[in-house]
Amino acid sequence: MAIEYAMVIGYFFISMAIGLFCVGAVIDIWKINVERKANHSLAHISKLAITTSLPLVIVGILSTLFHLGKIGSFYNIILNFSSWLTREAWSAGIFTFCAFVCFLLWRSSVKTNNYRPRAIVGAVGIVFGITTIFSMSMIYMSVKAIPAWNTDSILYMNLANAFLLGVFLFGILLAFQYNKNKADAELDLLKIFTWIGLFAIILVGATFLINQVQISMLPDAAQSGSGFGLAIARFSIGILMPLLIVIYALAKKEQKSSIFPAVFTASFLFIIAGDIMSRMLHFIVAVNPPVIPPIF
Amino acid sequence: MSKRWGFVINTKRCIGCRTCTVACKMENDVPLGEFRLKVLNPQNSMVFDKPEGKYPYTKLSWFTVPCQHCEEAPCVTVCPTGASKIRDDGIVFVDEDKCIGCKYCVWSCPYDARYFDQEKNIVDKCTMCMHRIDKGKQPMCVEVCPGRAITFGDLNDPSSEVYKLVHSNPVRILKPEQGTKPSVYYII
Repeated sequence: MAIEYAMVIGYFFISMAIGLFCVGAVIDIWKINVERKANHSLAHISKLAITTSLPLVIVGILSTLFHLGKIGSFYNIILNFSSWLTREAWSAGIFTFCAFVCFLLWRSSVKTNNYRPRAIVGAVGIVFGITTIFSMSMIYMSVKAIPAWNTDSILYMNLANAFLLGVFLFGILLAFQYNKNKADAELDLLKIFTWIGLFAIILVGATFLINQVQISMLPDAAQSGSGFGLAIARFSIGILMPLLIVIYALAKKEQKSSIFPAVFTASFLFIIAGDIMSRMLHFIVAVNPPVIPPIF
Repeated sequence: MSKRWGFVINTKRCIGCRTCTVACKMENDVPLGEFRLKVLNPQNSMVFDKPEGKYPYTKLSWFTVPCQHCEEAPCVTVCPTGASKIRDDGIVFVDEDKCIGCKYCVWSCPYDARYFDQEKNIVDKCTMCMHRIDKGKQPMCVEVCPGRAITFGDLNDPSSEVYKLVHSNPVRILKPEQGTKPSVYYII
């Protein structure tokens, strides 16, 4: 199948926005509501994450619109709730609205020192962010005609990819914040995020491998030999390189504080490359088995 | 019982002339490079027909594949705008005014029966020539087939030829594992 580049780019931005928003909102809920204290430096970082997710998701949604034949009639999509595409559009719309409300609530949160409304909207945003990824995955998973898509691993990969993109983009924000003002940011959180990043890489690697194994077990016509090279490249770039970089960063304990922004940025660039390749691969392996039965 | 239009395609009578494909393109103004009805050879190709078997026992064979007008059409279920519809008589069609060209239905069709029209920016497909059926005529592919390989009629009417063919021959449907309940039957 031809690669739908508008979808590749759109899904990349939407996934990244959802991942980033979820990390920011989880920090809001965890730090502000559980610990019952308003930590301004953390609230600033989570605000940065949530604010950044807003333009990202808008760019993503606009990009996906470009794969439509009649962009001007996109509003027709909103009424047929039996379609996963409609459900995805609604989920993405509500998620974007939540990100926007969180952004608006920032100022009032600081003034009143009450972060609870933002945390509640953030929690709703997390739910609809995950619903968006679930619907996005179901669009493909429900296509019985294409065996490479009709598998659960699509959902796991999409969730893992969003998690990975979000965590590493947040890592960059956090690392730069730490370097900018060492008194404000928390090194402990930076360490936690390094380990979360490592976990995310292993998670994505595992789901990617499971997906490739599932594709390789499909009937011969449903496989695509041309996807194999790209799969190897995606695996190497998307998984092995960030893994090496994070391990390297963890080993260099003395230089940790100064190396973090570079480590997260470099890892993130590799993850972007791997993610884009993964989404291209998604279309390349989508082969419709032959119509004519073999016994004919 | 309401009407359910359908095709019975006798592959033994098909001579691979592809007159049906050409006539369909002319009747429905199908864009260059796209087809509403394909006559495929066993290699699943529309070109380079190769005989099967060893000389002197060789044979050429073809499979005429229009939209299967499925009762459980996946293209209709997935359509986000409701542009893909099933008429009461079983014909699956695309409402041009509602279609936004998202191609979700193209992906979900197991029979590769849909295409994206680059000129209209929407998805299009075989409509069983419903503009002709509604006037009491036969679909164009049926009308022009020189081997009389394609038979059209009401699958629910015991007096129709298609009903008799389906009930008096060992017929097959394409990709039964997809559970789409097609309205096109094949005599192999």
